[in-house]
Amino acid sequence: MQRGRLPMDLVLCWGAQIADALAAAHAKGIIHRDLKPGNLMVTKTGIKVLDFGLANSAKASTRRRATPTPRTASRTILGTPAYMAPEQQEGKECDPRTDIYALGLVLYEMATGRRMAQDQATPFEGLPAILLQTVRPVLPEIRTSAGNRQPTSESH
Amino acid sequence: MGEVFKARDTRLGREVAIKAVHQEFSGRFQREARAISALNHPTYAPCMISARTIW
Repeated sequence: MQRGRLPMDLVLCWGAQIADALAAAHAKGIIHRDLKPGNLMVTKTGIKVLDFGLANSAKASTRRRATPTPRTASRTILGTPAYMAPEQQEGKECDPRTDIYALGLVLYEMATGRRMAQDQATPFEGLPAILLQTVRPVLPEIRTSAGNRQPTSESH
Repeated sequence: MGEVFKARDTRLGREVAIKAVHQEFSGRFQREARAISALNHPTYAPCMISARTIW
């Protein structure tokens, strides 16, 4: 994917395999929560979806909701900002749609060779809302100290 | 978080991946092993052994 856009037949073939993989996980009540190109491996037999480190089962999260957790723990945001769905960015409960959102971004990237975040108008649009609240007040400071230079590197 | 090694299971003659994580991520690692074990699908690398070693 780093080498640019993929031919449409590969996008469809691999996309369908990833969708299949997600469907199998969702059927078991497992949400991956960190689907991104870096967690996909192309093998002789097709795509492998890796790194279930952030995966949680729907059952486990229901249990967790029953016991009150400290505010900080419940607001911990895990994932990769560029591929996170809005509810995940806001630290809210994730469900299968969270993975489908990430799949959409992966498909976009496979088809265009560009990351969705790169195509967004402002460099900070892709930032999670909570991070944005933290970052926004200091933005003018950063811009002033940088001498009104445009940001040159990606922020995430 | 940890490291992944490509290895060869000499007894069964097949290639395997060994994932080792630092102790602070052991909970997350355990969840991952459990999630993969619940799945049986060609798009996932199956979890063969999950072990805990501290060194």
